Amino acid sequence: MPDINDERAQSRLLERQASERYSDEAFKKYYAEKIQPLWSTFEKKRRQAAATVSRRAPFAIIYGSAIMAFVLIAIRGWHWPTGPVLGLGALGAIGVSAWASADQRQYIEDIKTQIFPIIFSFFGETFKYVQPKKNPVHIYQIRKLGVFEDIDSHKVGDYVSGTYKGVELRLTELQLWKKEDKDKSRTQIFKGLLVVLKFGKAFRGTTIVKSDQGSLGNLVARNNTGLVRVRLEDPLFEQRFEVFGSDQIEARVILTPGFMERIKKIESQHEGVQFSFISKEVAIFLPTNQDFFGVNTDLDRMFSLADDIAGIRHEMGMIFDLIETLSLQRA
Amino acid sequence: MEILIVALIVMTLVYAYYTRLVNKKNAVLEALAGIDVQLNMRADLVPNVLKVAKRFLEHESKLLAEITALRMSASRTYDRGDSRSLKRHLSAAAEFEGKMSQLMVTLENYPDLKSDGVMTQAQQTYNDVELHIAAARRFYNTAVSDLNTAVQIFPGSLIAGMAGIQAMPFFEATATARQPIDADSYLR
Repeated sequence: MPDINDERAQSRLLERQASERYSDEAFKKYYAEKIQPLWSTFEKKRRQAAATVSRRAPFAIIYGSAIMAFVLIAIRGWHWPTGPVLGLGALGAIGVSAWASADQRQYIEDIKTQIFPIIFSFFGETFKYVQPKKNPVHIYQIRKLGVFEDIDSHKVGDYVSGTYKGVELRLTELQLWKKEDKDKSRTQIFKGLLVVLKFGKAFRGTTIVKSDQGSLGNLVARNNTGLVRVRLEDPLFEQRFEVFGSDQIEARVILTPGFMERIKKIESQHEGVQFSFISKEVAIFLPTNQDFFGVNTDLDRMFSLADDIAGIRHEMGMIFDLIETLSLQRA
Repeated sequence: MEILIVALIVMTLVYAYYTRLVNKKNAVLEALAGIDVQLNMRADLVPNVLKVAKRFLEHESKLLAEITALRMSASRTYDRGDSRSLKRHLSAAAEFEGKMSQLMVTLENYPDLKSDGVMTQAQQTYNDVELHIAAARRFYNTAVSDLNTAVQIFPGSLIAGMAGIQAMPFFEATATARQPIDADSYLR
């Protein structure tokens, strides 16, 4: 029979191992072992790309100017049709610019395909980084989450997927747009990260945590979701968020005072963060203006990913923290 | 004519306030129903826990007997509309909860019992039900706070008095639950 003290000791050991695994020290060691050896290769690639760009840039400027002059002469002097000529000119300019920056793009692509998988492996063997060719998430799947029901178009960027402590995780770059009725133009209503966590145990009902949009906005949001408002005891949380749910009790099982504190902390860093708890999934919409999977494209600076990695580690740490809290509640 | 208009306005306002009070009271009853569902689930779970526990906890027969008695007392029917009857029901539920918490702490001292498959399953379900009871308690107390504020402030107090709508008791945690946790005992 296992001794209770043994179990506690084992649990403490696991906790310590987990915190040590993702600590700054652990990452520095990992960086030194796995990424640092690639430094010279990528620094060489950066120099080559920088040299190619500086060599091709003058030609690109000359070609570009020649194309512009040709376009002007063709339209004004020879009275060629404006549309096709401008189209041809634009194609030429794009071609020249693509030729000039080809090595730079290859350098960034190499970082993403060769270094990013190593970075994300730090968080566990199951973590993988993917650059999808097409939108891997259908728009109806995003609408179904209940936070943005009235979107008309979306764009899903690169994503990371993996499993942390038995919880499936998928982190995707996401942009959402809504069409304006009057002028048919579209407005961006979300830009940031969509984090979807999949738990083993399903929620009984639906709970949506939306940003507070004022009395009228909240009323419209409630009508759109078709759910009932859940009023919580935390006045600061109530100021920032509006909660809707199909089960008043379950909404409070999820939104314990401790979990509300965590959400407020996240909101202080990501203003406009919103959540949805449906079936086995928790979806987190984290607005951010930064490109999560972006890398330093400045060819004049020595190859370093320190800043980019720091951002990724911070966000991943925050997501793991949320998983820990939700896992405890759902144990 | 003017008196008639004023009377009509007053009556409309009184009616609107009355509707508001009834809505708030219904919200409390809805929350109360939520608590009762969870309390019944807990009460149904207890016989299983006790059946396994009795095999191991011979020295705790007094505690087990108290739990059995409190379970019966907490499961008694009560008048939802009567605040005194409701208060007694909630106190019995809270006392039952306190004794069950005591039992769960006692179980920690019996590793053989804790490792029993049926007991482990029962404890997990019990913890889940406890989480739901805590959430239902928060829902109920929010609804009660809303109702009591409306009932206690004029003109609500007057209209509630005429309509027979009373302030409702809060579902408070037991003295056991309020006691500070001895973290050392868990960290040793």
